[in-house]
Amino acid sequence: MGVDRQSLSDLERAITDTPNVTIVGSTTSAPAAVRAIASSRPEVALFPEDAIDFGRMVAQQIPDLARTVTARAAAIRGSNVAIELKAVQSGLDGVVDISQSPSDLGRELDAVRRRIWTPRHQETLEALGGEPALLTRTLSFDDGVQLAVADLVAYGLTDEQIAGVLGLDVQQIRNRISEILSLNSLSHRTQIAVLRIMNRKLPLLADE
Amino acid sequence: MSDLRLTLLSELAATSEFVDDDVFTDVSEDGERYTSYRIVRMTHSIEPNDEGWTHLANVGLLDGTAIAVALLKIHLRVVEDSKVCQSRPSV
Repeated sequence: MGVDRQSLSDLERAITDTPNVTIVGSTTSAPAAVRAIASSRPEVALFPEDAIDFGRMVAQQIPDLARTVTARAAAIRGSNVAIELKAVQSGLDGVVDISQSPSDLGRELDAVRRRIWTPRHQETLEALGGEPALLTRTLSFDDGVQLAVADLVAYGLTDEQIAGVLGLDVQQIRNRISEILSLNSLSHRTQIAVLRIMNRKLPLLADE
Repeated sequence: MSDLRLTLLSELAATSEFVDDDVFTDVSEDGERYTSYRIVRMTHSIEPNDEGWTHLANVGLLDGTAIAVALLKIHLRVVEDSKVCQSRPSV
């Protein structure tokens, strides 16, 4: 997984004139980005808006110390509730608008660096259940039935279909889904599906 | 609901006379929101109707923070569907 070269070039151009900001490096390669963050620990790592998932996954690959030092933010042009929601739920520390003036961009980057960045659409995000770092959670289960129900929810089955597969009645399935939501402090059924899919581990694809 | 014909049940009637499990989950918001309730008391039976509701009950959230009245469809001692009118106590 990498970053589009054009997106990266646009991003570099946008922040070149920002006061008190020095670009220490840029890359389209995920392994190179992880190595760079882990070794040089920049204050802020910026990801183009089409690479927010990359920004989320980088945090899983870098050492704890680098994660503490390096804030992560998505770089977008203008204001976009959907991108902001995704970035916040992905655990990023902010979303910066690279179309604003260099001085305003510098102030926003500084807020990200200090972890005091505030979403532009705070109220909307709260209304949408935009809980910070929601997409970085690992689901917990009390037993194997809850795990099976979560898997089947993630496969797109209805409550009735899950009941048929597991040989339980629909009300038992609904009770189980309610238990999973409560146990993991989630509010909506789809969140179970999304997190169950995201919790799956990718096999090691690169040569050792 | 105004067309439903209700028969008051005895206060001595235990929930276990009607259902195997007194906990049921109400699904709302286009199938996204799941809220579990415990039946506190079955208050009325409902005469056969087009919507299929069979009973009216007092219910409460599992954490005890709210009480509600619920229309229930009970079939083979299982709550198959519900419509809950929740009311939170004023402070």
